[in-house]
Amino acid sequence: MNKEHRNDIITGTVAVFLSAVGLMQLSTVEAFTWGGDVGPKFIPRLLLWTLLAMGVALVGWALARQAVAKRDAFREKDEAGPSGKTWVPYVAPVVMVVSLVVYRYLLSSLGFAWSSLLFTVLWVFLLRTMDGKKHAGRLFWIPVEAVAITGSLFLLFDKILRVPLP
Amino acid sequence: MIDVIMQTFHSFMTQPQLFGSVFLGVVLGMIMGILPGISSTMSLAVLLPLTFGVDPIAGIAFLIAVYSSSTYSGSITAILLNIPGTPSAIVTQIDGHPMAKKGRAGEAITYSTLGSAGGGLLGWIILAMFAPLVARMALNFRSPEYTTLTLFGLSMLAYASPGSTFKGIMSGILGLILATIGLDPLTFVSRLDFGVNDLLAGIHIIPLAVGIFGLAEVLIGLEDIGRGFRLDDAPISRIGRIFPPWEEMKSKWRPMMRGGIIGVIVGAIPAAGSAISVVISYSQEKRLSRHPELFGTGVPEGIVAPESSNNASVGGALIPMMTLGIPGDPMTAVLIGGLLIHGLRPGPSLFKNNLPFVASVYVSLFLAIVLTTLIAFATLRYLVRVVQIPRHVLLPAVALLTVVGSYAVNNSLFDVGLMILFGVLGYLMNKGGIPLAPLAFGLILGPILEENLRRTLVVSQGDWSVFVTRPISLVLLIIAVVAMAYPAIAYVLGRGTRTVDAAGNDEGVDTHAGS
Repeated sequence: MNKEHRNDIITGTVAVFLSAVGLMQLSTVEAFTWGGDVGPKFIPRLLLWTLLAMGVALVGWALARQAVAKRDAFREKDEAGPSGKTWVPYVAPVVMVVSLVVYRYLLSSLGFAWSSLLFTVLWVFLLRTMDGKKHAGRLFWIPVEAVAITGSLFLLFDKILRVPLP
Repeated sequence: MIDVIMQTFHSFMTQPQLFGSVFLGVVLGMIMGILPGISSTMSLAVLLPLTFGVDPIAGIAFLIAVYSSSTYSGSITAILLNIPGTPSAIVTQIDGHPMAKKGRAGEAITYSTLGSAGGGLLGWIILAMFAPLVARMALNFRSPEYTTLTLFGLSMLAYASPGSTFKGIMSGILGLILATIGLDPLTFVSRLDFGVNDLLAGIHIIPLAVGIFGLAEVLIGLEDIGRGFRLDDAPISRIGRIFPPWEEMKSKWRPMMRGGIIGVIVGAIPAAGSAISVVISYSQEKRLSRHPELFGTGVPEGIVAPESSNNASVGGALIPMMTLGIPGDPMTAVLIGGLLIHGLRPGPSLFKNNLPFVASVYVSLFLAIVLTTLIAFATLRYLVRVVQIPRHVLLPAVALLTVVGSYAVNNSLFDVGLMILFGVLGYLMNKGGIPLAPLAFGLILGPILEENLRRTLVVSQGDWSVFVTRPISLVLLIIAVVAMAYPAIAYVLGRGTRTVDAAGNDEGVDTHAGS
């Protein structure tokens, strides 16, 4: 399937799913109206129905375009490529999200300084490894750079600007 | 008003904290703007927490300075690396990089700096002249006008955002839905909170903006590294002579003026932003040139006009933000977040009740433009080295800043979780070619839309015709409907796609430009 059509179908489906969940939650809300007021459920319900309709339209439109593309024999090959390693570029973003979630939980137990230090050590190491270059004394520079990043942010926010840190 | 501006200017020049805020904002904004992959919006989003501990005027002065200087400095990366530091610099690189390759990088940056300064000052003058007029006019606006005005702003955004208008509208609607989460301001009934107590107060703009504009760009940067993309491939390290010959330079005031005027007009249209104005000014300059065939080979007009337009749009975008509370572009959406944190809601009442604050915005923008120009010329040879900051230091630091920024708003780890969620959402939306800015605008404009719509209906006893019987409301409504329906009409009439895409500025494609 064409990448653009596939993206549209996914986007539309997610929109339909989110609106349906929202509408279900909204149906459990007890609300009242007075005078000419439309009530607290009116706007979210209107928006959710609109999003749902647009999601359906997007899926329908993508399917229709896909059908036309097939009929005209202009069917494009999957742009993701034939190799089985198309997931490789997405590993680092996924690891970043997972590490941020872990970092968020570590913040409450270890505090900003230690959890940030662990986070930066991990990422300086990963990024230095990913760039593929040979660095002399890499093992020395990883903790130095991690301490420099965390320490400078800690000093800046906590000591100079007095912005509350976790 | 002039007296207040002069008084404020005096305060800025005599109080180290105020002047220092602008100076620091300019320096940090320039550095962030130069770094490839760090857009102006991301710069603002991640530097926002620096303002939490200072007084509101110093904080906003700092943010305005970051906004102005990072808008300019994206061009340096475009010229030296052929990678736009910000989306608006995409057009600058068309002639900037070829000029740099000819050994005239210093001259190209000078043209860009002078174009930016000229356009920025023009935008500033028009902001100072017209914002009070627009604000005075907006004081006559009542809730029906505000309702249709927010619809107008959202429709313009959906239309003007890079990518599909249909998806832009969907993104805006999602933002509006997010704005309804939590307690209803009129009846205090909770909606769409899914039993999560932390959602009762609603979703703050900062975790959303930091997530979709900050973390999402970090994720995109990581994906690029995974694809083997290198930002440090063969940067131009020798910049050559800085000042071009006077004979060549003096004739460039015309493209600068033309670009500036286009920038300020397009920038003032809610949500149109600088990315569109630079495309228009570049094509206009090419059309007017006696040698259009030379455009793309390194002609100064191709740098001066879009850069002037780019920076003039800062003043332009501040007009709807300051006077109506409607963001002019994604950067002003983050700025509104900054104002709200300091308890200031932009709009016509700001001009009525807090004139010194308005004057401080004018003064800080003026100082930012002047300081950016001076610092650029003074440090040009050293500033270009910023391009070489390694990404293994930059990306973790930016990721930490996104966490600090989202936590510090409410001292809440729940907001950090929301920021991560919105970061993932922003990344996926970017992959799907869905514009991000309407999402942030929807969250900002949602409460204004709902409050004014319901107030109107209460006053009119549920009569919806009030929106079409008031002239201003009717005009805004018609424009909004036409803007939203135009792509469908154009498609039916077979006119093809929108001109915005001519820049190739699709968020789903250009992963280094961001928003």
